[in-house]
Amino acid sequence: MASGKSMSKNKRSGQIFFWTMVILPLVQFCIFYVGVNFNSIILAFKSYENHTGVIVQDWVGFENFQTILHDWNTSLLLKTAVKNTFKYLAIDILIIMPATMLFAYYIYKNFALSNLFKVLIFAPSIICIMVLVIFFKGFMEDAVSQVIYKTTGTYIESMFLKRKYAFYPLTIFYIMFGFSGNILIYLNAISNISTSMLEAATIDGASEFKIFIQIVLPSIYKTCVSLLVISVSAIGSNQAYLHSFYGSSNAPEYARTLGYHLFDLVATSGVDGDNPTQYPIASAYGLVITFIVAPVTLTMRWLLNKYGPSED
Amino acid sequence: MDKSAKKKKFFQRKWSALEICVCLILTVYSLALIALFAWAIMTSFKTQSAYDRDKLFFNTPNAFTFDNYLNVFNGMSAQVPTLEGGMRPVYIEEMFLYSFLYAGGCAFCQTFFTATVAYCTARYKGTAASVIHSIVIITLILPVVGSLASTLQMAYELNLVNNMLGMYVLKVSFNNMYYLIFYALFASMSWEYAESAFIDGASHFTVYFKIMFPLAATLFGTVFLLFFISYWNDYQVPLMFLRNMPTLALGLYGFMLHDHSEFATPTAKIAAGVCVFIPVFAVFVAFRNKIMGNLTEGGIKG
Amino acid sequence: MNKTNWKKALLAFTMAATTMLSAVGCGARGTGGAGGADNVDIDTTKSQLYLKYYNGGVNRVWIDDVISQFERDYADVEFETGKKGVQIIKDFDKSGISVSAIEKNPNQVFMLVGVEYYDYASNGVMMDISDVVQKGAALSPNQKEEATIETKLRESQKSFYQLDRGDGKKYYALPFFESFMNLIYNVSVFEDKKLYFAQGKDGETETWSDEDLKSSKVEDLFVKRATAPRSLGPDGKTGEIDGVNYSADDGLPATYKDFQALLTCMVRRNVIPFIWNATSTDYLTGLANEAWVNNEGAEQFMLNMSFEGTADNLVALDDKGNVQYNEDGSVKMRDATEITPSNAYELHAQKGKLDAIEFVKMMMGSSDYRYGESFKMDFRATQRYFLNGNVDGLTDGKDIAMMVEGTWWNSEARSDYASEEDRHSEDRKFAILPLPKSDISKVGEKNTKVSERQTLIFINNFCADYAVPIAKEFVSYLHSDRVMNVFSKDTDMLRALNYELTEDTIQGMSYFGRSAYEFATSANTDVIEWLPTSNTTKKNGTLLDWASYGFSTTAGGKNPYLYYFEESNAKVSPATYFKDIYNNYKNSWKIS
Repeated sequence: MASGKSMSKNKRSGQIFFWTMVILPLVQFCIFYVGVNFNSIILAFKSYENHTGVIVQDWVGFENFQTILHDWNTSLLLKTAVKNTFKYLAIDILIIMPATMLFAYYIYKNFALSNLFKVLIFAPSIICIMVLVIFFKGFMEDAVSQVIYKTTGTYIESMFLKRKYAFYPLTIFYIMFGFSGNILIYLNAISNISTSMLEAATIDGASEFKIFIQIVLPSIYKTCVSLLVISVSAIGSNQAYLHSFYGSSNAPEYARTLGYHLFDLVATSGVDGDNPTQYPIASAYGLVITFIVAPVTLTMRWLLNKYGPSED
Repeated sequence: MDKSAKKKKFFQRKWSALEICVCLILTVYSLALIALFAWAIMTSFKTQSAYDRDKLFFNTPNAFTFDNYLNVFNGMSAQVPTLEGGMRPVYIEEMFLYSFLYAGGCAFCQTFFTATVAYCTARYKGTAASVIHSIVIITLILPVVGSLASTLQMAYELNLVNNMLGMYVLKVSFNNMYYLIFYALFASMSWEYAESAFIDGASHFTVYFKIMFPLAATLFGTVFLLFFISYWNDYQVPLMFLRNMPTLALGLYGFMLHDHSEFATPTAKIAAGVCVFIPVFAVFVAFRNKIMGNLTEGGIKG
Repeated sequence: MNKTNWKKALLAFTMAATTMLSAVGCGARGTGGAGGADNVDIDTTKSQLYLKYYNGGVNRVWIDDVISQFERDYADVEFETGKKGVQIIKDFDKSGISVSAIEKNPNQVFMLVGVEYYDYASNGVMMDISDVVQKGAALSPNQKEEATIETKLRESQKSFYQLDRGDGKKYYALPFFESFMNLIYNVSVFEDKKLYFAQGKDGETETWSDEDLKSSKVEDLFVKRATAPRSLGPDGKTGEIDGVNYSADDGLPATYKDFQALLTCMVRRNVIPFIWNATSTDYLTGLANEAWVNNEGAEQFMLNMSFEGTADNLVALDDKGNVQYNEDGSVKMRDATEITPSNAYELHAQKGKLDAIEFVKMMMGSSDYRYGESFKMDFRATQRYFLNGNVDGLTDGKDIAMMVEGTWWNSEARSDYASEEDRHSEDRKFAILPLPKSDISKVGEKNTKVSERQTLIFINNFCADYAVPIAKEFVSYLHSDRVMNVFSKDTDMLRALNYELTEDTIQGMSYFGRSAYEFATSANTDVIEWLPTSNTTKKNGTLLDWASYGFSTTAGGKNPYLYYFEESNAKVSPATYFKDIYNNYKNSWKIS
């Protein structure tokens, strides 16, 4: 039949359109996701040596993993990095997440100055992190130090090189500029809550805090779970802006995170491809972290979705 | 309601405890942020000797200067190899160019292909579409760490490093969270327009580019803008993949941490930050509602 | 203007400004000729030589002079048929070049800093210049020096720079300049504030307690008048003996206890003892290395560069790495130990390193000893404050006595002087402080300095055939005593070779330059290079990185000054820190 033929022709041209449009990104995905991860696994079992000016590669089995284990057992650097990574994760979960939710609710409810706050909270996400770091570092190291000296007499020689003080500005920076990333996502999720439910609660005399805890949070629970899962899964790549503050290899050993350590391994190799000596160990670290974090993330997601509160 | 009535309503209404607490926190946060930017802008106009004496205020005579901006234009540079094998400096205006090319091209590629794949999977159901959709969900959920070394090695092997087109190739991807937003949008769009167009003899390409894509233009524009801002501000990817075409963010990183020339005084570094910050912030302030308001379709539901 | 128009205007202005900047960026600014060279017109009547020069702290004044002189001297020489003379095209900036980029680089002669000789030479990018090194340096087209350039190299340099790539030992580069880290002291401040130890006070502090050294008792140790006779200093002698002048260090602290007394006295007299910078914290590590080398001595320290030999200055440690002591409280030393690559981590038990840590701890003993903003400053700010801080009202009326800096500092800080006349005036008196010895038993031993940064002059192995004789002639020319004098006269620095300065050069240098020359070339000073000397150490160049080799701990830190900057470490004894370093290397020792 004519219509059957045209439907089949339409279906065929639809297939042509489909494959024409997706082939390029699909190939890119195969090379730069599948291929890259496959290569990453292979790299973890290799070594590159450069003693004579010529790169020599070799298969070394589990040697890179043994090196990681040895580093873990003998060096404090790795343990400190892991500890700091969890510290920043705790800040993400216990401070930044709840605060961002509260701020999103505040803006959604159009409370005082919410338009101004919305702009100021979101603004840092559109500003280059190096700009924020230059401003913040100068401000804290110079201006704030001067104020502290003039008001308390305490002279701070360096806020960023002294362990006693470094935690504070780095953490303040991390928190201050951590809200902006997800504020719109929470705002969007809260916007999807039925307004009648919120109004009914208000009419029934519930306080804003009670509404937030008993209606808003359960309603946006799935969004929270998604963002929590993203935070946990980013454990291995969270540099806590250390590279922006200190550059490659210069972050104090007590402040480093796993993400900084891994990035530094690659960043300090020859980026012209002429000195990949650190690539295998960096890939091995990546594999180890992935094998630990992936099941934890997935399990956590499953548990939170299964046992968390529902909108009902 | 006129202004005085609004004001009266504002002060007379009952403030909840939550509102007061959050307002206080946000006020402190806002004041800190405003103080930070105000201090930076002020410092960018200070002489180095005035800054040495007083880090906070203009407390010394002849403290005002434009020299810091001159230092930025004359001194903020990165050395890149020439085609002939030598080295040459790249200054701020050329960094602007590379930033445009990098941010614009990468943002366009990533937005376009994300939208396109989302459209294809949303509207052309089948095994392939399901597989692609699952790929996105799985890759978003599954954390993969430490692939930078491998990516760099492969990009180098394929000659994609230090190559703007190479950067675009790296961004021809779809597995990001905006895929879900586009997917939801295209899935919710009425197919009647398309069916009418098919009846009129339009091809699938025509339907996509002339009917469906324009309907998603607002979201496309917003996502493009968000990607653009993200790439404009990124310095780590150019540091690893695009050293020979330094963007502004990379130039700023080098100027702040590795430049010890007479141009790179502390006040000049802050002036450099102001140079990079002002254009983006100006655009954001002017179009904040569009940027912040249009990212409402879809969202992450888990 | 209404809101929408305002937004449009703002957007239009921003886009226009940014687009205009980008458009300007399309026509890259002042790139000059090929290879980023200075903007010059190529003179087709002459042969061109392309020179890449690291234009950092050393500055370019001297090399511009030398190039002009070379071009004049060789104006009538035909290196190519139909062309007379040489035009040198300058590519001067503060950048290096990777190994892989050299082949295509148009530059033919390179004068660089931070280049790994072994890497570059092994990759075949450096031309064999043995024929240059093993002849006299060129003075003009027809004249050469009698002594070969090779005779100007130290034995350790001959060993390092002669590389056998399978066709016999050959030279592929020559060293550029000496680059040791120093405590530069302000002689004028020492004179004005009478900070010299008085004659007869040698060794007096040996029996003093720590409390005494930090009390007003120290005032008695110092001269009462600027012209009063001074103590013997770290060399333990004064006057000229066997043609060697031993007076330069008179009155300076000879031992660590003397040094502590000096710091106390400085603070009492409203002088800030030190200033340094934090953006290049490896300067501080470099100074710690100097203290290590100075206490260890050249021969023993060089075991670290070969991993072969007999170590006879190792501290006795128990199996946990704790330092062992004799009954009299002195550190117990081991018997002579044979060092091989497999046990070379034992070199981290060298007594000189323990002494260095004590020196660092002393310097970091009080925040009063350093200028408060040192840990926030970059090295240019440090130089500015050291030179003019008091005059400019930046240091609350206090002079700064000493600065941690490299030998290039005076050339680098030119713009901080009012003029070149100011830089050379007798009011600007600075000198290298000979580091004190750990205890009185070492007074009289030689000063030992280590030149850490690899700075090289070499020829591109891929340069055009016509340019090879020109390049070799130019490299040879650079190594004549005459040209090396030009270098020293302008920069106040020394080339990393043995040569004499003429009286004219010495008089033309600043006070610092003259004193640095006298110090470095004194018979009482050994200068060594931080260069691997054996095949094993050459293969493990990363391990031997001078910025991390000496003081890396299990916690990952590598800078002893930053270690003691932490309040939590302020009370950590040098022995405990020393143990941490030793154990770090012992537990992770892996040699290729």
